[in-house]
Amino acid sequence: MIVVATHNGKDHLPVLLESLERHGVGGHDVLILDTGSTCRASLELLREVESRKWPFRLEVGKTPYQAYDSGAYVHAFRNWDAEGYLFMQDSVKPKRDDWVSAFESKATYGVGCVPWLIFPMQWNSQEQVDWLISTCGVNDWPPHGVFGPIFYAPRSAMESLDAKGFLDILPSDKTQQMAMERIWPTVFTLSGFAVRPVETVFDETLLRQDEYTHMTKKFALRA
Amino acid sequence: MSDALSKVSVIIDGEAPSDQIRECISSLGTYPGQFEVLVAGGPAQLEPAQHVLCEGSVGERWNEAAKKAKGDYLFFLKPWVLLNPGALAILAESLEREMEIGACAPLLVQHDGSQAPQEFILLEDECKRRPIDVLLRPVKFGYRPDWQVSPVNGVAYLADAILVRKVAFWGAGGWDGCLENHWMDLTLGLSISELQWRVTCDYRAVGLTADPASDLAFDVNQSIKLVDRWYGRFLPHGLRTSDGVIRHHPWIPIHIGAVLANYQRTPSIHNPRPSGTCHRPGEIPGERCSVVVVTYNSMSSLTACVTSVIANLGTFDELILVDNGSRDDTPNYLQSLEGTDPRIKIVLNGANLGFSEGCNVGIRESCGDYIVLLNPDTVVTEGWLGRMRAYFQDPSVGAVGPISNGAYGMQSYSFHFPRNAGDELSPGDIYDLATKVNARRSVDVRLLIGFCVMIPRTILDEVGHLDPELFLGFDDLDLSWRLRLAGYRLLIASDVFVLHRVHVSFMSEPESVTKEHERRSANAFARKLIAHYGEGAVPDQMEIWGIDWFTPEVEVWAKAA
Repeated sequence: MIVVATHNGKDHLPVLLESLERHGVGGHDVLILDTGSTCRASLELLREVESRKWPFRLEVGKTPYQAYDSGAYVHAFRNWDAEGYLFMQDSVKPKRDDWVSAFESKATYGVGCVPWLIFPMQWNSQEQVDWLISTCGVNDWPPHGVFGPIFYAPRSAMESLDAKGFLDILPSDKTQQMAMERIWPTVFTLSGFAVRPVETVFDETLLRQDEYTHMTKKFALRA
Repeated sequence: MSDALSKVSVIIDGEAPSDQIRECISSLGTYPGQFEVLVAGGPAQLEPAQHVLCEGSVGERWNEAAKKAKGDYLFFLKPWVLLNPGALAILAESLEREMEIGACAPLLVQHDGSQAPQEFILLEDECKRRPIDVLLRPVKFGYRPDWQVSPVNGVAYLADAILVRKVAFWGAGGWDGCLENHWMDLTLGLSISELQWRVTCDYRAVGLTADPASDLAFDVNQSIKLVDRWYGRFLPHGLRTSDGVIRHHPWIPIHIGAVLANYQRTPSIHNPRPSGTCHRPGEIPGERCSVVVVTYNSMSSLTACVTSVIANLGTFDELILVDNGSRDDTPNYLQSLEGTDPRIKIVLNGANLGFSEGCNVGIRESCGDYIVLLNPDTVVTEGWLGRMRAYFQDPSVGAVGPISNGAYGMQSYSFHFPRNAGDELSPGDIYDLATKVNARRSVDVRLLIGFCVMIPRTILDEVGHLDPELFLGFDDLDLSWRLRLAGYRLLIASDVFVLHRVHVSFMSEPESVTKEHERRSANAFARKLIAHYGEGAVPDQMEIWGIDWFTPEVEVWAKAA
């Protein structure tokens, strides 16, 4: 299942959906979860998207976890059954027909999380570090973060995280949401799952120049 | 040593005589934790080892055995290796202590007592700047017997004996069964390193190897295969000159085979320098540095700063000291320096023009290709200019700053060291760790604090000099913002340490005066941001710089978002 978290996504969602139409979704369902949009145009767009016919099964839902992607991901896992989940944001745009299989093919033995890109573990603030320590109960973490967070995870891996209580770690502010790029790989690693990216290390220049193979992502202001 | 180490699964290649495998297993001795032995393939049934029936190449057999393994750590072992007692526990302890270590190898010695070639180095052609060859060599890079902080970093080791964290192993995709011995070893190490796991060698763990010497002879075709596979993905370690001599890469001055953490597009490959003779940094007119230090009542810290800069300045570099009308002994001290060293220039403004304009005066006086804006309450360390400048081989880099003991946020040294390095390191310890553990490591950030920042003159001219309206403070937020708007990356050089005493000049004035200067600067900068983005559209400061401490007055900032 392709899970798209959207928030006031009127500028992004049409671009994403157009690329999904063009490049396909690998035979999976698409779930768009609104994380609490406030902009009228975005809400109207969601209604229009829901009513339109698509070349794939598409559902629009709403998450009780406002504004933050990771909450939408957890909500999707707990309420929609699928073999695996490709979690992404509405600002992502697939570029090739094999983009879904690029994720799935990396989910080999022992792998629980397939990010699009990783980044060397670094922090924006001490608050992020403290939050990871307090929520994950560790003072050590893997050396990479999950860019986005955008990643594929088999249901079995998500179930394992849920059983350990790791899916109860939900951000409640911007700092914590940004920390989720660090917390996801940490909880997968602590649960014994490997993190294996589709591409390589995040480089802002490459992204801005649209040089990654499978996808691109826009950084933009939101209402 | 911990008495409750994680479970280890030892995986031994079964394609060897039974006696040899038995001897290898018995050399493992005792291990203070759970432990299992799996023999991958071959006919051997060696109790209590579990025999894993599998066929194919070594890599394929080891992968099959790894799938059966129950341990958190996988110890891949060639049957001809005999470990010293306790070696496995030492390796496991390394992984236990630092989660960022993905794999740890013991030091291997041969029967004649010599160190076995174990570490991989990639060479590039000196002038064409293309990878051309792969060599194996003994692990050797600046190790000090008393340096027990952490195992030494490599990038890939031969897998005659290597303990790999299971999540790092599967994250790297396991062994590549299509590759031959050694090539699969090195590829696994590189794959693990690319995922940012550290690949290390712990000298305290020693093994005896009897790997036939013929196995260590690499043929050219195999080298090319490995180079092709990793082309463009990491920085070569050394150079082969036109006369065949192998020497250290000039921009990796500490040691060959050090940490290579920057796997992003490596400039030497993607942005080749023009052909020609390679020069050492600091000796080519095209790479001169101008260090600009603006002083204001700075006497209490200035001598140490100037002394350290002069001691670490290249022949063609220069130090420009600009005084902003100090009332203490600073002007006298600066005048006493005039004529003592041709690399020193002194400018006495006679009045306080503000920090930004003081810097601009120095920049206008300078003639170097790289400008370093340095605070007078700093002490720089050996090799600082060369190591910072090395990052500009990548033209997407707009500015580079060091790590420090006195810097806010990501430039604090504690973010850049192994977490067991200790909380109260001396400056000497920090320097040692920075240069040895972090060689060539950098971190992309959105803000470089202004106590020390290096910018190429061409880029500074392009984005504009410092904003004179920012009299005191926020000049660094402004410059970082403008550089990133122009599409440049900002890097923290994790291998450069600059000691910083923080706000010495600020403290020479009453707090009310500095606060007023800061208030005005903050408001001026806020208005600048609003003018750029439009009212209500200024991104969150967390988004622009990753900080939350930019605090202009409420009435000004209210229009921002």
